[in-house]
Amino acid sequence: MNRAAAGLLIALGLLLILGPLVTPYTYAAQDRDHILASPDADHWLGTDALGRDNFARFLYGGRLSLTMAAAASLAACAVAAAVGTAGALPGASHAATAVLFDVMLSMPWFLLVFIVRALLPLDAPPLTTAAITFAVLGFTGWAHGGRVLRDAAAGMAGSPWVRQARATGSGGAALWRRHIIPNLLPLLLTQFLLLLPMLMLTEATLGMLGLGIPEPLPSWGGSLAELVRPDTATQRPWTLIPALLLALTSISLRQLAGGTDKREAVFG
Amino acid sequence: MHLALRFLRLPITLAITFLVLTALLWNAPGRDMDEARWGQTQTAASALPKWSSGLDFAAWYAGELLHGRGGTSIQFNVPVMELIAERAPVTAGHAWRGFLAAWLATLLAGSLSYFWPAAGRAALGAGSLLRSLPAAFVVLALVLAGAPAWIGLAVVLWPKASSYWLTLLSQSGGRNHVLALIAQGAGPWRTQWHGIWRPCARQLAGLLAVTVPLLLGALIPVEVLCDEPGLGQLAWKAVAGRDLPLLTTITLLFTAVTSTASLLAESLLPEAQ
Repeated sequence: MNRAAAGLLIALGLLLILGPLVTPYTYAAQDRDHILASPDADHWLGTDALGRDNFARFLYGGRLSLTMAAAASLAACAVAAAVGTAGALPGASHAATAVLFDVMLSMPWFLLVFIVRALLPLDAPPLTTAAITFAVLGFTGWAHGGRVLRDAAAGMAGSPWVRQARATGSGGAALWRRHIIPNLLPLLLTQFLLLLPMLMLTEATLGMLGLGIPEPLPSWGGSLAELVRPDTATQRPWTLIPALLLALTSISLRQLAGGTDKREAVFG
Repeated sequence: MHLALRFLRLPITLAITFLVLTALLWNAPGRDMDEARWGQTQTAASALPKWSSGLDFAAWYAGELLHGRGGTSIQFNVPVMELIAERAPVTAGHAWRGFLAAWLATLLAGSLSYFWPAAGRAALGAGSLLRSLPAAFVVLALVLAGAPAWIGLAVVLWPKASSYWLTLLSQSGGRNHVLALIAQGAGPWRTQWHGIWRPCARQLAGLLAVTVPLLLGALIPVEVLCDEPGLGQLAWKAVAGRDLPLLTTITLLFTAVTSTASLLAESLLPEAQ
């Protein structure tokens, strides 16, 4: 299953990278003679209401959604690792991070993400708006992973092999650098792989409600916004393809996260 | 003492949320432009005090709260508490139905998985697929199929609830007391009741509390797409209209519910921490 998931993600990644070679259209190019066209040899997934090629928008949108979600997940994991390891240290740092986790996890982040996104001015550059949207999503996503990492680090700090390392003269920063942090990496990878689909799905929900990545930039969430119009799904079923690919990507990433989880259990 | 400190978290979280929200709203680019628009088109805007800074708004709002009010909505020109009292029953109506339906389906899937492990795997598979789709997409599909809002909430909530519960059940199924019950010849229902359900009652209550914030998160897309005049839709309208008093009150209300549910979950389910 893990190989299938990895294979699918690699194939999708290649398709997105080689996108410009696969389709002659750009995401913003309009073909006004083919408005809301059905799939044909020229437009493999038809066109949208502005005559833009759906397949090109899907490829470019996938690039943007995946890249930005990956960057936001990476940033969230870095924050989670920093706060999580600080929380595993005894004393004031443990107490301070415990309060921070509690507060972060008690806030209605979904509502705050909506607020931040809605407050951005309409004339802001689309790429800036997209970057801010994902930055906010990343900021809201670090706390769960941080708490998992803190507990894992605290568990490792009291484990027999760390005690043995201490007994053989390893201590302080060296103990963390050589023995604890390397063993946290698989868990960090799992958190990354779990956070990535979560951010992509949240952006897609924002996109469907009109607060995702702004036009003319494409995104998978933005592609799904077309479905909100009545009868689109029944009369133009190919508009469901982004949802299908989003689900496959998300399942594959979670499957890989499960694989790294097992590896982590072996480490533990 | 520890419990008292834990419950202090509620006002601290509310205060921090209030400060974060005020800072966000006050420093938002384009806020001045919108205020000018409100000044021309909304009568309520002229009736509201002119806040000179975010701190000024925070002080005004804190005073309003102390008097049991939340100010007047800029968009609707109606006291905020009146709007919330009007919309809360709509949200409560489908929220409890959705919550109940999601958890009944979860418990049913859990029970069936004990007799037929394939049913448990099928439930996990279906849950995994639903969790891999955007919540708004799932809700939209249900709306197009003519399903009411509570079904949408249940379908968004069920995958997460069932994943937690099935994991807990699979962990409990192999414990010594369960194996001892089976060895003593207890039937599957008795084994489930005495070996799993009763010992897990506290964890189950904790899991119920854990899913309350998830329900709140699903409210906005569900009520917006189903066109239900509840608190989720009101929050959406407040965001779209940058209605400061309304937005602040709804956010604090959601924060209070989320924090209380989290506190309850941690009290009942230490693993949640």
